[in-house]
Amino acid sequence: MQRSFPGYCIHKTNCCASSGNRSRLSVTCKSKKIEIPVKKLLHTVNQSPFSHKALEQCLVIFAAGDALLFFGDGIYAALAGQPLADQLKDKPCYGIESDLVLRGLQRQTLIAGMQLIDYPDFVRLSTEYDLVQSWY
Amino acid sequence: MAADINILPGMTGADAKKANTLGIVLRQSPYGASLAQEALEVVLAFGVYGVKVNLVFMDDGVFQIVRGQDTQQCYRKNLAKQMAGLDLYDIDQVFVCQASLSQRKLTIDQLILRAQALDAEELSGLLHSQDQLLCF
Repeated sequence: MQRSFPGYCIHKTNCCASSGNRSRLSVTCKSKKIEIPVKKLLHTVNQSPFSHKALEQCLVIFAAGDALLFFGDGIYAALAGQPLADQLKDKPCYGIESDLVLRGLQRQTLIAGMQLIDYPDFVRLSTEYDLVQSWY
Repeated sequence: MAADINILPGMTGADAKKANTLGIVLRQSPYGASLAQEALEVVLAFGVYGVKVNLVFMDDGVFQIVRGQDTQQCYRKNLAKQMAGLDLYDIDQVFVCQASLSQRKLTIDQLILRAQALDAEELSGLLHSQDQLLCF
C-alpha cells in the first residue's frame, strides 16, 4: 500500500510502500529501503473501565504482541463483568494482586487469563517489552 | 535542509537501528490540569538537544492545538502560542489522531500546527516503531 510512512518519511505524499510482518517492517520510499523494527508494547492502565475511557482508548492502539498491565484503579478491568471484558479475552493481561486485595475484590470472578502479579514482576515485565505506554 | 527518506538527514537503512526516535503522546486536554504545559516543556527540552521527536496528539490531547485559545481573562500561559514556536526547534513531525478529531467535531484546519492526520492503524504503527515513548 502506497502512503507516506509516518515518522520516517518526510515527503508527506503517497510515496512509500511497506511490507513485512509483526516484528519487522520494510519501507521503501523512492527506491530507498529501510527496515523498521516493530516493537512490543506494554500498556499500563490505572483507570477503571466502568468510569474512564483509558482502557477503551488503549485498545485502539493495542496490536498483536502487546500486553496489558492493570494497577491502581485499573485493576477493576480484571473483573469478569466489566464492559470491555470480551475485548481482553485474547490478550495477555496482568494485574497487580495487592491492588485487587486492597479493594476487596479477591473473591470476585475475574477474566479468564488474567494473571495476578506483584511489583517485582511488573519490573521484570517492563524489561521484557520494548516500550511502555501509560494510559491514564 | 531536506532529508530524503529519513527524518534524520543522511541516515541509511543500517542506521535505522541506531536512530533515536522519541514518540511523545499527548492525551490530556489543556488548562484543566498542568500536564499539557509540563509536556510542552519536556518537548522543547528534547528539541534543544536535537533529539528527533514525533509528537502525537490523540484523544483529548487534540484540544491542545486548537486555534483561537485566548487566555486573557484567565491569566494563564497561552499553550497554543507556545506550540507555534515548535517549528524553531526542528519539531515538525506532528501527528494527530483522525478519529479523535472526528469525535470532537474538529477539522485539521482548525489546528495551529501542521499535523498529519493518521487513522488508527497508522497511529498504532507509528507508536510501535518508536525507540522510546513518553506519555503525557
